[in-house]
Amino acid sequence: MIEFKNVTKKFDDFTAVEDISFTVEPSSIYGLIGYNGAGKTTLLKTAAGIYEPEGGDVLMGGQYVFDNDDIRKDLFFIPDDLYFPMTSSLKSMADFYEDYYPNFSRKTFDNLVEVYGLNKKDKIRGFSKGMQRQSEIILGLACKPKYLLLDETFDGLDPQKKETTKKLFMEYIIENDASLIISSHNLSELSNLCDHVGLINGKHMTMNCSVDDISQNYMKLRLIFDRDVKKSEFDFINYKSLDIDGKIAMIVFEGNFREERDKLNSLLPIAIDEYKLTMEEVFLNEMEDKSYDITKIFE
Amino acid sequence: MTSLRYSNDRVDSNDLKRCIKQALPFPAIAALVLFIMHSVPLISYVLSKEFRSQRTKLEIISFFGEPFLNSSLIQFGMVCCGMVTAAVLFMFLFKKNSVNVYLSMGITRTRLYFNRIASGVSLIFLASFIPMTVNLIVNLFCFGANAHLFQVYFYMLLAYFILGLAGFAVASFTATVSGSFIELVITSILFSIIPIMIKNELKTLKYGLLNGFADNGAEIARNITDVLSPFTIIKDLDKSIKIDEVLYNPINQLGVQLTKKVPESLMLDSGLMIPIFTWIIIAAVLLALGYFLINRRKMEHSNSFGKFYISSAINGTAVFCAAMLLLNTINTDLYTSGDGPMRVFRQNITVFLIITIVGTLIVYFIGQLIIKRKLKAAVKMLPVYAVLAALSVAMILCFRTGYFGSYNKLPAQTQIKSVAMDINDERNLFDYGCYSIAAQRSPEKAYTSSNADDIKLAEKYFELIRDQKYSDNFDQRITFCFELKDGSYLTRSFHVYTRELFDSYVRDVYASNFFKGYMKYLMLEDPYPMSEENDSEGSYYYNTFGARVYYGTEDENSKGRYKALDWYCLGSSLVIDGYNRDSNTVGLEPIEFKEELLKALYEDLTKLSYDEVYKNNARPVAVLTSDFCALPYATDKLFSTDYGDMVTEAEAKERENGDRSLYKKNSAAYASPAIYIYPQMTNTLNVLSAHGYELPEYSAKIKYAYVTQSSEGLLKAIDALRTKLSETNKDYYYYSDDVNSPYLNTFRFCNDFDSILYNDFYSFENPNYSDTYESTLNKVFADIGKPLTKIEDTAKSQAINEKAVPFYDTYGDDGRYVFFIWDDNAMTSSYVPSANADVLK
Repeated sequence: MIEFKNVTKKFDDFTAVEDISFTVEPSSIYGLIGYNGAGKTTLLKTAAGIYEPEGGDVLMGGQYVFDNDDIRKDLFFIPDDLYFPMTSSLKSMADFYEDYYPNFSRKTFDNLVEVYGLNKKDKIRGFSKGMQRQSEIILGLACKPKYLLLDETFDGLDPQKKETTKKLFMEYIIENDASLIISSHNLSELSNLCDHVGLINGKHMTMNCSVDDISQNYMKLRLIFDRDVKKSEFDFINYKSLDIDGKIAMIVFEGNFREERDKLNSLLPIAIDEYKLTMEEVFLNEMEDKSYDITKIFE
Repeated sequence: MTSLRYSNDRVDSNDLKRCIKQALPFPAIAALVLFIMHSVPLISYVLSKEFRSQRTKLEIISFFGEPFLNSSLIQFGMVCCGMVTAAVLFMFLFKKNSVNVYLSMGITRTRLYFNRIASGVSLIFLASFIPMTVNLIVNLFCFGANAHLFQVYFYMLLAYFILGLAGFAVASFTATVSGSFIELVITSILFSIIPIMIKNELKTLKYGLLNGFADNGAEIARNITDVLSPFTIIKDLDKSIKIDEVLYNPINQLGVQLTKKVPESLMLDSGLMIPIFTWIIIAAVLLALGYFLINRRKMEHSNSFGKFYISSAINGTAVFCAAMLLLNTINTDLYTSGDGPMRVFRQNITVFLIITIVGTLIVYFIGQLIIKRKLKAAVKMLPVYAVLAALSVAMILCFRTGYFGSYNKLPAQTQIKSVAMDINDERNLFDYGCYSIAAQRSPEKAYTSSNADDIKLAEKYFELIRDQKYSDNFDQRITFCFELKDGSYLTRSFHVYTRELFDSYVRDVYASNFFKGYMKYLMLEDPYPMSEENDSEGSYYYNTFGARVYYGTEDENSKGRYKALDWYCLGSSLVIDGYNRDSNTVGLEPIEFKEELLKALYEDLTKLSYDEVYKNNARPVAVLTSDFCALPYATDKLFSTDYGDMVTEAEAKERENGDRSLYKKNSAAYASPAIYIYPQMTNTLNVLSAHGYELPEYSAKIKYAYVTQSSEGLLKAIDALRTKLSETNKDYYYYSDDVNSPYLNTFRFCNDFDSILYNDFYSFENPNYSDTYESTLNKVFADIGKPLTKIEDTAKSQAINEKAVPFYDTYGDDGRYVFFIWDDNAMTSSYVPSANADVLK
């Protein structure tokens, strides 16, 4: 299990993340979502023991991670910016990681190389971005860690490799009882992978729930009127967000929305349709609202 | 299942192996270079026929071989090897992607650091160990064991190792506080040169601020700078380690020693080990600091510059030191000799401190802005500046107050064995005799007096001069030397700032037992006996009075050649038109007569008062001058050159630069006026008379005089004269840089004019130059825009002569130079001090 307890990380006077708490159970995949610069990478690096938090702690298996070599032998971090020395090949990197990970499995390594169709002896620097990512995934999984931290790992992978990778991750965590945290701003990638998600918005974690809970906690209604409607007409409703386009209003509700839905009948819509929100829509709704009049930008 | 402990150990040892593999190339190159430099020459030699024959005879061989590359370069290379090794090992800290990997793996920061240190230090040690041990084995094999052999072996092994370790330790430490490779390089270099800058800073302040400065090496300030030498690994460490001294010293040569007990004198000086032990300690401290810092390193600062406080502090300190060095070089120059509009800086410690603080603050802050690139971050570095500034102010005040009064503390009378005091001689008669005191080269060779009255006199003036307030109207330097009963010396040179104090001092010293004893020592005794040892060192001593001048060099031709001074008596003239001078000149020979003359001079000069010798404006009846020549038994007459060396006439003619000063047709004309003979010097006159040198009674009177418009312009006048002569004679060569002294007194001025003109009259055949001395004098002053004023009135001219002084230190005095034309066509010069200016109106 990975536990984040009130983790705060600062860079000089700048607070990157503040008071973040969540837990990742064994055999589960946690999706860490946030806009660019939200603090996802910071949080992962703190979890990996690279950064020392200014407040709070990260525990894995009940032990503090920072400067703990015992725990980190079971931890593998795949960053966004990969590390491959100049003349390294998959083979030499396997040798490298084998020196530092006692559980490194050559058999798993060989199997994965075959799955991804890469050449062990070729120089990794000559690989494409996607192939380099695949290499890192191979090496990470071959190390047989109990805790996997992945930062934008799907970035650069083609759709087929993405699916393969997802399957591998799911299979891995079940077989090894591992915990996996993966960050992304591409929610569609995470939607059928993670069982839990956390959203970092404005240094804090504004959402932390299971994927199932999202679909149950959020609902979008489309109301069609026979007249143009105004925002002010909906003031009596407790909604998450409201978009009006002439005669059509789109309302997002969080939590128990039934009662609010019933109130809408008083506005006499012609039709009311219900939609479950995708993770992306939930993500967008949770972000800070900054509306721009697009038509005015290029004037 | 693998046990945790086992897996930890395995990871740690794997990391160590990787570090060794990673760091191997550079120490391997170093080992190879040392092997080639030291082992290959030795092995080749012992395999050679020459060695076999020498071995039979048990002749000396070289233990470590003679390196064919400059050994300083090799030693510097070892330092660089250490630094590069550290950089390679800690490179992972400088990129975010490598930090991500290493710091997330199952190995602690401590272990990462320790493995790199262990591998680096081990490899650097091996780089030294392997080649030196090869040499040891060869020597053991050829000659057997010997205590001296092992001593040299361990020294060489440690010396090279320490050089590499020094570089490694510095770079390892700075790696833990650097964000990038560039920052590591810059910080390491700046860290290494900070001691050099502090050392030079101390030297600058010592020379500039210490009142009562002593030149010899036994002083605290110099000791501090010496202590800093081992710290300056880029520049001075190799000199401290002294590998060359060990390598090329005869102690390095074994062979024959192995058949006998090695003499104690050939064993290595234990002092050689001090820099080595110093650096072992420094390296240990730096590596320990690195260990502390790696655990606190913020990895988010990888691939950055200026983010780490410590590296910014180091770099800022280097910038500060550089600023201090530059500012104080200028500052101390202004402090000691600021003139004209810069006079406000002279001896003004407040201004000195203000400039230092303001200047260093500006430079430091700009430096931090460049490092940090943010105003707020640069401001955060100001506490470091505050500490540096406080230390610097303390150091400046420490020097200014003479280490808070301890530097110039007068020794207790019971501690004093003897004293020597400067005899400021405006005619430069005694300068050379006092040279050893003033220059502090060897206080042991100074003439000292243990007379109780002399000691009291020295104590009195030491305190008076030491405690005087600064004034910018006068400046003369006086040196005191106290020989203490414990065998040490306290030597100080002070500036005297008031004429009254200076005059009081010189009069009292002139009347003292010390002075009389010193004159006897110079004139009648042989202060520097010639010896083979002196000759081999090429000792050179010149004494105006000296009966002997020793001039020994390695040149076989001049070895053992003695020189004495020719004495010339110029009759009743001081500065004369050349033709008259020639007719009144006689050379004084032989040497026995010279010694009799010196004795007579001694008796006369010690009888006269200071004013009678130095302030006498009466016309001398004769002038004695001196010049070099070979003793009678030497076959060549020698000529002195402007560089102070002595050559034969043939050598002089061969010189391509056409140094015409060597071509003296009449040595007397070239000789420097030395002693003025007055009517009351009866002993001297009697000796001259007894040897047939009759001096006519002098009855000439002054006809008229010329007066300069101001005390300034003399340099210009001499320069103009020089230029004029150069235009008329392309071979003209100036004879002395002393002419450029701003403190010309009348004697020197006349001497210079005299020599310039006589060089021309007597050295050059120049039909175009037919002016008389008087007309040349007028033309020169007119050319510089300060024509002389002619005083036609005879009575007034004579009255001026009464108030004039022939020898006067004109520094700070706005008097006038006066030239008197006598009715026998002689010309003399003198000086009317500003105090007597009324007589010129």
